[in-house]
Amino acid sequence: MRTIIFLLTAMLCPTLMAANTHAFKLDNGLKVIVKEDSRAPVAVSMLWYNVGSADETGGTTGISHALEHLMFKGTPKYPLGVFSKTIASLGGQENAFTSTDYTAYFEKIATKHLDKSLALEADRMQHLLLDPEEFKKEMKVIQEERRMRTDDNPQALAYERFLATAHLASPYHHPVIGWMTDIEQLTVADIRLWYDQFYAPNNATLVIVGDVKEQDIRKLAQKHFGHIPKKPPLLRKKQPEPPALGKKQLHVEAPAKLPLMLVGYTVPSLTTSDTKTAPYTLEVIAALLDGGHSGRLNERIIRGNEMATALSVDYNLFSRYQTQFIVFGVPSSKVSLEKLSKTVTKELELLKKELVSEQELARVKTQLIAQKTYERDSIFSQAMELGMLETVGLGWQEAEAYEKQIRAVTASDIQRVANAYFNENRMTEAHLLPSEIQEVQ
Amino acid sequence: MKTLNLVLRLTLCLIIFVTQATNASSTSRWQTQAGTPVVFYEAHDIPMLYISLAFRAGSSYDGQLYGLSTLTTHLLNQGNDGMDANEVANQLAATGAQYASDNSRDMLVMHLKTLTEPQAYASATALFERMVASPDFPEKAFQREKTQQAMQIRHALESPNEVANQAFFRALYQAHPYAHPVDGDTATLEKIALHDVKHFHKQYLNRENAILVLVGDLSQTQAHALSEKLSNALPKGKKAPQIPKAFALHEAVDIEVPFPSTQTVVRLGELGINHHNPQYFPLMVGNYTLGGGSLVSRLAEELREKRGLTYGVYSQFLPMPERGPFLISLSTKTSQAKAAEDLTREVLSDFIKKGPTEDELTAAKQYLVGSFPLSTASNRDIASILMKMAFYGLPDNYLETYTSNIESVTHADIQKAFQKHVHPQKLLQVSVGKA
Repeated sequence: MRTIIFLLTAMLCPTLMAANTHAFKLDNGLKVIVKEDSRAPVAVSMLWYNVGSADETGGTTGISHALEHLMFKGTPKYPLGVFSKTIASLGGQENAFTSTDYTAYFEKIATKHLDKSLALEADRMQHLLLDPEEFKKEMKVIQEERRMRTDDNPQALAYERFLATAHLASPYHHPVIGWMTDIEQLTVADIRLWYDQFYAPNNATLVIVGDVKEQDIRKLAQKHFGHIPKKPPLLRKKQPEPPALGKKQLHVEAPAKLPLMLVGYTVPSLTTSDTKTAPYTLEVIAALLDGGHSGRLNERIIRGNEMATALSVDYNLFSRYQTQFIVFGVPSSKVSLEKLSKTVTKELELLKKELVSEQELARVKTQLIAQKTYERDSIFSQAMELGMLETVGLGWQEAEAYEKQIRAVTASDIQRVANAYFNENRMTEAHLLPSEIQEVQ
Repeated sequence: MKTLNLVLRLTLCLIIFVTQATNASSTSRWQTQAGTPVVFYEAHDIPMLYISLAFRAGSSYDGQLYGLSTLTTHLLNQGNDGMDANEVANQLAATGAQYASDNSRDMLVMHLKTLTEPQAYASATALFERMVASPDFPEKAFQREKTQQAMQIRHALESPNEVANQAFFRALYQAHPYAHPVDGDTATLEKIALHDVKHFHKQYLNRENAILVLVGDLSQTQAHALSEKLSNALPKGKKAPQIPKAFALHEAVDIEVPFPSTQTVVRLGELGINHHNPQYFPLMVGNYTLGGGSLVSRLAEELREKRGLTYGVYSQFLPMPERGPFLISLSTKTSQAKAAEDLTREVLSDFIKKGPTEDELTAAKQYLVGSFPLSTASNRDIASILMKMAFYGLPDNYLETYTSNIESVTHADIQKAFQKHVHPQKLLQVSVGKA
């Protein structure tokens, strides 16, 4: 389950950012965002590629993630193992992550070593070896990763199947790690094509947050990335869903110990919505329902009528395509999934009928805005936010608009948005049913 | 993500710290008049404050009622000073503050994160003080939280990793209070009555048994005032007794747990060290080479990089107040589990015999010293390290001497320490999967 995040405060502290955030573009199209934060003599450097699992097609799902793994397998200049060993010898930590909308690589390192880590990043943007033997071994590692994360985790399996049902034709249909059969049939030539097509300065954003000066980063970025040629830009086609023809339902049987309910609605994100009001209103609704100890679901269904032992809400307003507003729930021992689902949807119905009180709305906004202050404590979170916003096309400045947009949401916005989106025709419901534990030989 | 985080969330002590960032002059320590030790780190860049109030009240103090520490932890904000749980939650939320609590085998901690804007700070800390002073333990909340905990216990058992961790601790610690899972088990949880919770609270959540860490945007005067208030909010009592001694297994033990997973999850290890072991630094430096460095360790190199056998393999020493475990963790598809286990043992034995090469030792020191500033880059990191130092009784100059302690470790120190503490012939192995 998603960890429950607590929220924030009204009247207080504006989240000043602009003053110390700088952005510029190299001639080859590489975007660079620098945020100065000199509390410790370190920096986080992230290179975001504008490609993720949502760009994949059937037969080669998981290829963005597979390429992410192979990016650690060497270049002619820095052969196998050298990247990780070099970063470690400088006291740095490195890793990478792939999502539906992006693939990103990062180093956390003492500021004085940024020169070296950027040299390594720029090198692997252009000169990846993609050795067939290393490819074969790494695909085995990825299969183990999939077994560990998904196949042996009943709730993750249910979530994967939920998404595949909720997203009929849209690009979030398949899992980021890919279907096992696709992982098994990927070839090194497939990966090479993907790398050649998407790994270019004009399809990337470099984000650096920490004890740095904009002027120094300008020089370093130019030095290491300035000479890399650009490639033809990626043109994405829109992939709207065909019209919904009614509620979708599915059952997932797996060796779980507890049942799980997922109720989701197809909703817009900031990039797909005609207005910004709807996504920010959905963000407020998510916090209203699941604001840690104080959310309505917790107060009414966990502590109130005690019908659930866990409830949480997931909605990402920064996704590239239309997405899902999902309520996850584990029913109490004598409550059926159907009963819990009815209780949860009744709470959503209530939002359509009754205006939220000014007091409750103010509290939820306070929570959301305070959270932004807390996030300033982590240079990693700050870099994540900037990189994600820029990569999905919203622009990093959206981070600064957040507080204003949240404050602008009204009780009638909530009522209107609830009426527009929490409808059966937009709904997908999944039930995870614990299967009989098989006898093991 | 390419690598896993630590497989086990135990009471491990972070082994990497920074001197530069935790500027000694910003850290001050005192005792409240009521006798609670306080550590305060002053940081004004962000208008926020972390409060951590810890007690020696982890699950190793459960007695025979396994799960008692967890249940008490969950009940601390479920009704306080006459307010019900909803009032507490809503009033706190209205200030923007966030409350959380957690417990481990060693400690029970109440955390508050608040803004330091005067009005929010005053309301949030006043509420927190009431929460600390007066958990009411309402009967209805007790029944509900107990039922929820039973569900949590069940849920954990659908994860082969969790099943392996529990089996490993049970077999390693036997009758010792570290043996049972932190959340307890269904049978003992059932026996816990409301008065047991109240008794546990009275016995362990007192001013003498507490440690308070404050990190953030407060003046010295404010920090002193807050610490006095929180300490006074706690009842008088006494420090919890020492954890009894744990004894090593006399011989190798192999345990196989049948489980309907596609992978087999393996834990391999034995009793390790506490924080005060004189060979602490040689073991930490050596372990980086063996299996600590995520993609660059020998285990990662042999199992993952060369053979694609696993997504992650790690070795760790997890010091605790009494001897914590040394353990190696990995998972792989069942048909190759035996091969992975054999290879792991081979790498371990070879390392014990020969220790690291000169290059490996240099690389380990470079990483452990060089990454020092990363581990105190945020207020959250600083709060967590200062708590670990205070709770486990590490010297106040631990951070300042960290680099020289790492630098001075020799090849011979590592070899000697591993030969003394790791015994390939007496390892406990737990395998969870379709045997």
